[in-house]
Amino acid sequence: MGQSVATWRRWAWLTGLLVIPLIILAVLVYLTGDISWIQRASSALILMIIVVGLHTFSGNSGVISFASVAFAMIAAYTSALLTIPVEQKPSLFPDLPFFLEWLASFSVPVPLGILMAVAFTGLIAFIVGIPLVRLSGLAAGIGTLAFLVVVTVIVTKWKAVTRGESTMVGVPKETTLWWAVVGIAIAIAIAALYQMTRRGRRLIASREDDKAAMSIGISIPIERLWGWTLGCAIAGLGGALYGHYIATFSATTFGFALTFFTVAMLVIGGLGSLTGAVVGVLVVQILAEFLRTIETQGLGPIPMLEFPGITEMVLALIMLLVLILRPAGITGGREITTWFRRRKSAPAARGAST
Amino acid sequence: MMDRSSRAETLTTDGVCVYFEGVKAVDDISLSVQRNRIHGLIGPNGAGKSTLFNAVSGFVPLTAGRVSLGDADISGWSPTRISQHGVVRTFQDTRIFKALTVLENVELGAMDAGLHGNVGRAASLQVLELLRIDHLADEIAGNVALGDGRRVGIARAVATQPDFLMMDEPAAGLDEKETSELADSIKEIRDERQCGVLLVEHDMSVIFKICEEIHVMDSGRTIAVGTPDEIRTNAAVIEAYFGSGHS
Repeated sequence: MGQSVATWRRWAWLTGLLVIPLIILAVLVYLTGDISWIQRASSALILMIIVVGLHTFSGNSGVISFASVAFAMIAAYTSALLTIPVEQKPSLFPDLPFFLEWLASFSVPVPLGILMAVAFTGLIAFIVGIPLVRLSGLAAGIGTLAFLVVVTVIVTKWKAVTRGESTMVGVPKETTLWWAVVGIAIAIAIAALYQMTRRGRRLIASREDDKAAMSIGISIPIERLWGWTLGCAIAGLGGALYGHYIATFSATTFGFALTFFTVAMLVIGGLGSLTGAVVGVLVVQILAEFLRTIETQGLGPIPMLEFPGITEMVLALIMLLVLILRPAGITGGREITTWFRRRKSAPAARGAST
Repeated sequence: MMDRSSRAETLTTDGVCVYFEGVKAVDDISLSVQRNRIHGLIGPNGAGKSTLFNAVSGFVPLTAGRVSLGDADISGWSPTRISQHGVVRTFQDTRIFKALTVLENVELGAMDAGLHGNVGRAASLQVLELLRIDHLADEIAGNVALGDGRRVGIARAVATQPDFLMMDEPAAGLDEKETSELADSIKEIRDERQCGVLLVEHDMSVIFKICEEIHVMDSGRTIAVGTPDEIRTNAAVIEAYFGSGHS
């Protein structure tokens, strides 16, 4: 691609600075041997993949999307349909429509199923993206939310293929903590590469100033479509891994609650930077664990009191406060690498800009 | 990105009109910019210069008339397509990408010329040198002073390798020294890049210093066209600028 050495170096730095601490964290959790902690870490890392996917589109384009969980759902169901053992398929899916009957005749290994699910998700994202990326602001929010509703309805009602409101069962449970680590490393590496190279940078330019972007020949719909497709495919990776992690799931697993969580994580961490996506997931996940403890066991000295629903309420409140007080989130929309760079060259007071 | 092997020699408007709800912001303007020449577009506030400028660059739809690049009719094209074909504008309020570095801003321009990676970086550094802001390459663009910000905006446009560079009041808000240096830079850009320049400017010192042809507008219409010497002594221009009491 002819990327400059400096670009590759910055890519390696950003990827390393984000991935290495996560690996260390995963190893530490693993060493505790505590199953419940390992489970929490695994699901947090998988969730992080979805949030990185959300960031890849929304963070770089500045256009909100509520659809990333819908793509995670598409990927989870796709990978499930591909990987459920062939002998179980006739009893689980007795009424497959004629054009999908071929699905019952084979099954693929889980890694291949995940890859195929990601590719399929990317294809769907590309197709629905053609009209969707033309929307901005409120319209984009409503449009992507509508897509989530459509996918949810299809999954809930298309019994022959998705088992409808019954849970998907028989899905190979293969995702481990290490799979999650590999998944998030891939997601971060790809997302970092994208935003540092030409396509991503043009999308960021359109976020910064749409008119200026057009004035230097940037086609905003085309750049958004690239970012959207890539972001949704990354969310699909998270969704497929999640499916093979929990093994039994239904449409409600990937519903509004998860959408709210992922958006809250990105907003709190900082819309506009990959670091924000990673930090947001960690902060919200730790906070949510703490709140859930209160929810079920009460608060230390007052164990009699329980606060059902406090997790969502407090998260919503924090998101609101962040939006009002620090719209760029905890990270201020900056990458971890710029923090290091700024410390190296002590910034002098500069002239006021326009 | 686009095939620019045959560079257009002229950028022309034929009877261009832009009306906003009955207000004739631009009314029947015909002007022609040649490559390798610097054309000034002047007029009092509200004369319609900016609207014409926006119409030519595709940001405002034409009510009537035609904009041509060489033989091609580019009326109604999107701003993206117009800039991809070599007509590139700057903005009075710079509209530089504030969160990116100065060099990254210019590299984004170079991408429009199909220059990426190392090649794009080298080309961008050359443009920064041409505009004498290469020392700011790694600064965050939002942190540079107004005068430098204007130069970043111009550098970004120059990096696209335009055939026609349209500048919207590049000297607005600059002091005398900055203004004079900017005028020199515009001339250097034209000389080195061999592009045509359409310059909207309030500051007459810039216009008379570097323009080879000047187009004067008032209330949406053309009131004079000519060389700087002709315009300086044109009665209609003096009237428009200073009112009858001063002439």
